[in-house]
Amino acid sequence: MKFLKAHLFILFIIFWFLIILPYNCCAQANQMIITPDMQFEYAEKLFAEKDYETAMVEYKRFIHFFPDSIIRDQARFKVGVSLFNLNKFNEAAKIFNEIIMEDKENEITKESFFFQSRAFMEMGNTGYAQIVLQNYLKLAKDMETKDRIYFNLAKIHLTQARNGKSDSLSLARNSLTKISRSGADIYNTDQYLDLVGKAEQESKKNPKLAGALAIIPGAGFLYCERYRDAFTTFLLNTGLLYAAYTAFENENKALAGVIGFVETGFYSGNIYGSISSAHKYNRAQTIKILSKEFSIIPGLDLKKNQYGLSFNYCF
Amino acid sequence: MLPRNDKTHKDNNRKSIFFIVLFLFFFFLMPSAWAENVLVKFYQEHISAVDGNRCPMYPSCSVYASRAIEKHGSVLGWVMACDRLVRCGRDEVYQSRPIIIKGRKSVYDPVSANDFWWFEKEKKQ
Repeated sequence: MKFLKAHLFILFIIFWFLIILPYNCCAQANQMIITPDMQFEYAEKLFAEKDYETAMVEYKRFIHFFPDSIIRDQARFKVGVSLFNLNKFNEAAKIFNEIIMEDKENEITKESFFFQSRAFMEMGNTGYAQIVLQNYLKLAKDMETKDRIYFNLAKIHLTQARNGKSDSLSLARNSLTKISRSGADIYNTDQYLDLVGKAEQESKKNPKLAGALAIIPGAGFLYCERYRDAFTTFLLNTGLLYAAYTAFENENKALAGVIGFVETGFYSGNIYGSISSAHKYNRAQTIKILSKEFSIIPGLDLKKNQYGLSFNYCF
Repeated sequence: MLPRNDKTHKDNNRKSIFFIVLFLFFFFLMPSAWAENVLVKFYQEHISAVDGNRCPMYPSCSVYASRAIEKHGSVLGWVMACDRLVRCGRDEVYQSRPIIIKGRKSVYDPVSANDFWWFEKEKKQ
């Protein structure tokens, strides 16, 4: 029995030295340690390949495993940019906001302001896009950054002008004129100032005048060069007014009331439509001028029932 | 003492006026959702269903009206709907963008294209 135990022990020792020990040693030798640089480089590689979804996961992995790394902020910024490129603008804006709120004076914070503004622009929220840049304008110290802010503000105002917002063209002009001489050469502001000038000089319709003229049914539409609408409005309103008057004269007050109610809607609609037509006319004129220089692509989102114009121009 | 037929006529007129006032009262005070569901759906289900969809605009005038009422309430929604009825198929056809819905060419004229100058939708941050 002792002899058998000794044999078993010897066999175990042999097994240990020949199989288990070399296996463990090999496993240790093959074990790979991922350094922060390796992880970040891999994420950067994916980002360069435009695989933003995977790149974002790898940047997040980097932030999780190496929270004390000096390039952690850069990884967070890249998460935001990846989200931006994936058209997840709301989430991207939140990431950029987190970076901005840390209040560090570096290139990442600076770019975060611009990217957050762009994210709001992409969401169609030109107001917030403007506020972000105006806030950064108060913090910016160097002329180069200020020029860039003014230029981006001009872009926002041009977009607002396209959407029919009043005074946007003059605000765009104001932002462009604030760009320094050196910045003006870089951004070629003269070209854009000429364009704003042309858009301002283009014949416009006064919405207040259109509304005032609409007291005579159809005159507002006539002023806005909508001749068919004007004719229809005139006929409809005069017809309904005459019908209401006749019904009242014939002691049919109930009928007169019903017709009067319908007529009130059409008469108010005539005033509303005239003012609206003047605004639409002005917007169309602005788009016409701006589209001569920039490519404006109409877009349609039937799910949200929204209509928009993609406004692309090289700055 | 009035003659019988005159009295009846006057009573009928009073009743009619009472119902009209009642209708106007409910029309202007009713919730937007009710207006959208009852008035527009009645038209869509019982009139347009028989008459056929011949509106050259997209969204159609009845859908436009329901969306205008939903967005801006009964009074302004009603005014915007009347404005749309006047513009439907006329100059708007040459000024707005054409789109093809289910193989049919229409003119895209949503509520947002007519209230952009005074109403800016609250956007999510």
